[in-house]
Amino acid sequence: MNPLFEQFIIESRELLEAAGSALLRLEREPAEPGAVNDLFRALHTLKGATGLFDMPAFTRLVHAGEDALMAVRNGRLALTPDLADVLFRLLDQCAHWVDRLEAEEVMPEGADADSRRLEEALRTHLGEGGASGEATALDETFAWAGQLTGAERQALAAGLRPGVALTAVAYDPAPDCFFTGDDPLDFCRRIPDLLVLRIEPVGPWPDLASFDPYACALRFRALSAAPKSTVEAVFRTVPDQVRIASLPQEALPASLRAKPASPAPRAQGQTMAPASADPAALVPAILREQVRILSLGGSADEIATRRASVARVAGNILAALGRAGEHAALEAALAESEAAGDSGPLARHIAGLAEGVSAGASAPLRPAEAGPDGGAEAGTGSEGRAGRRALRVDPERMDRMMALVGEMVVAKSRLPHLARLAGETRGDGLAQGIREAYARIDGITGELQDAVLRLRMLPVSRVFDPLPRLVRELSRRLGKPVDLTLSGGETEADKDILDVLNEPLLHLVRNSLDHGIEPPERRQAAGKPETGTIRLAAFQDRDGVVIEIADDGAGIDADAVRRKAVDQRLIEPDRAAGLSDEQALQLIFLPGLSTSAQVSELSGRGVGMDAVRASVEQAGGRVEIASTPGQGTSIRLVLPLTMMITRVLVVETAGEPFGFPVTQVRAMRRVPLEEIRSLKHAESFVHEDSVLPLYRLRRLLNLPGDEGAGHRAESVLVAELGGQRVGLVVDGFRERTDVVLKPLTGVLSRLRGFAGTAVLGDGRLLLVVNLRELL
Amino acid sequence: MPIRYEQGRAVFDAACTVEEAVPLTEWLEATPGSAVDLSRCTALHTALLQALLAANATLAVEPEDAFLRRWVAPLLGGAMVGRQT
Repeated sequence: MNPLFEQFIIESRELLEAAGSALLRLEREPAEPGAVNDLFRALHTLKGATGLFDMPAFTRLVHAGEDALMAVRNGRLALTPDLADVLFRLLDQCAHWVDRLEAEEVMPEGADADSRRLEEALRTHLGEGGASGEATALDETFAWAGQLTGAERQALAAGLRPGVALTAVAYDPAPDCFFTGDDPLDFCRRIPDLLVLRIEPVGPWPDLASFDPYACALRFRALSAAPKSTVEAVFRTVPDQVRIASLPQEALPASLRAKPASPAPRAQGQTMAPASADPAALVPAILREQVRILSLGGSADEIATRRASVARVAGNILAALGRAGEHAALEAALAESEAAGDSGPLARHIAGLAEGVSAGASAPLRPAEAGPDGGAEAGTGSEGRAGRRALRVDPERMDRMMALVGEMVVAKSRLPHLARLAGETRGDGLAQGIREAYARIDGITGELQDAVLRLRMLPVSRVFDPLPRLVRELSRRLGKPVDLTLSGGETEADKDILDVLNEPLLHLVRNSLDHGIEPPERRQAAGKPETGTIRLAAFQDRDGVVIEIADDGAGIDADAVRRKAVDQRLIEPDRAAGLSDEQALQLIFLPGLSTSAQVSELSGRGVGMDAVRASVEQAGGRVEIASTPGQGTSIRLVLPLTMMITRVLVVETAGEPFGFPVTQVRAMRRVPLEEIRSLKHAESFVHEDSVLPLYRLRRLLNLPGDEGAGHRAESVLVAELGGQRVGLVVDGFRERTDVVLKPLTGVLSRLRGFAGTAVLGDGRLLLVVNLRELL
Repeated sequence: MPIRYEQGRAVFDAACTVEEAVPLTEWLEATPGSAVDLSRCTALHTALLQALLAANATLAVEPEDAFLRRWVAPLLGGAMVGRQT
């Protein structure tokens, strides 16, 4: 899918959404002008967007909706519930098309018929309020007719018969029309009483090498003196590609009207008005259309191309009006726009021309579009729209930005060193100056990092949203009435983290319902309310974002877990017996325990719990579980706010800094030497009434030296790895800090035991330890 | 053969249909500055016309067919007549 098309899909969804809510508002409060304006603007922008692609049915339908709204806005048409129905159907239809376009990139078959049905329904309403739909459709079809060349004007004037309407044809053959056997040029040949025929390329010609001879790249504009029905007969096989309108001569520039039909007194006595006569009433409309074209989105190239062609049209109009002298000002506006890469100056200039012309002309064709409205929109439209539109950015670009912020952190860390140096070598205020500059840069860098991270933040409600449906269905299927409460959905977390959370959450909620919540009769017997409760809460704490899933079900029987684990030979019987209940619960995270089908006693929570833990840990988080038999179970997922930034605890060992993700750190302790028990080489210590194995980082990493000499206590970091706590002797604790973790690359990537590297604020390289690999 | 390719010039004869589109495009691509003789052409398929326009081919001999002479020939003039959009 090309980027422009992708943008169109996103943008049209937003516009349809905006239109839908505006329509609701409008229906509730018909007198509120804001709603109808919002709705109109949304449709107007949507129409412009569809016009960039080959989807005439879409464009036509939106245009029809716009017509109806214009009538509502002007008070010519009341918004009846019936009309609102039709408009809602129109929005639904468009939304459906957008879905199909996204999937298939082409409009679905039958789109044309669908569009016509709704257009018809709208026209019925408009019929009651006046023929404005016809008038505006005419205007659009005919806009080009205001720019006829001298030869075309003469041909037209020669062929016009007094009192007879002209028929205008705008024929945009489908690109694949050759395959269905159409020859558009041949259709045009068959137009009776053809007075003007324009054959125009749809876009700029490509290189011959990339030119597809089988894709029709031409469009046709024609004026005929034959009646509309006769012309329609020619195009009866391609009604979806052609717009044919009957054009009363009054709609023509005065200079082109056949004499007796013209009400203009100045035409009296002349057989043929000179080509350079009065400014055409159409000119302001054409100019305003150019302004609208300038406001359309697209790639820089497309916009530049549009600017050039708009300037050409405006130039032609000036020439036709005999105001070629003003060409220079137009060129200047164009140049200004080109230089700034912004269509604003040109749009304002042309809007100004339109104002000037319409002030001097007879009634403009579309009074509703005339006046400051059109001009103001041209001037401010581009900025206003940009504000409304959500910006989509490649994740890679964001990563690049993040990497640059990381570089900045490293670069700024040289400044304190310089300040120190300046302080030592000279007595002036340079050192202080550098320190102040550093403080400022440090602050900005922090904010910058925060801002970049915030770009990636999304509310947790994203992963909460599918849960109510899931619970509703499961609870009906299992016959267990359940209340689901969600809170903290507005808590924000990095998109990557939320993506990781999706599956585990579904899993945990399913488990709660399936195995945690008891059937109503058992709940009743236990003296609980029949309806079970599952609570999901999200909040932020120091370590990151926490999601809690709690139920008031049967809870997990620790003994049953022990038995199960022993039965499945996942743990030795005497070790199992030595586990506290809390520790025994952790066993449900062991892979393998899950496969058991008869663990009804332990609520069957083993199912996939190891998978839940694996994905949470992979994202740098941890899972905690607590359960009271008979009262329920609570599971906490603790995740870092972002995967871009890792919060680490820095420790020092053998003179080097090492980092541990804080999500793995449970405690920092000083353990007196006499409390460390040694059995052969295996050491252990008691922490919170549990005996934990003790490891020495120095030995794990094969670092030189001995930490034991000369002190009476060890610095021990208590880390938790998938429910297993261990102690780790380090030389000393340093600060907690946020780092941008870079994975090890090249030869280092084979190094086991490290999650990656980061640069500390003082410029030193930090190795972040992957404890699981190390032990 | 509805279209005869001579040196630097394509001569169209009678009704020229969409089947000629690919050979014509290839010839145009291989023959920069090509010119066309439409004098005997009675029908020109849209696909052929757009190939000529895309290649910016010039008209060597005007068509006799009234429709082509009036509406199509001006598009092909060596000058850019009628090619403004």
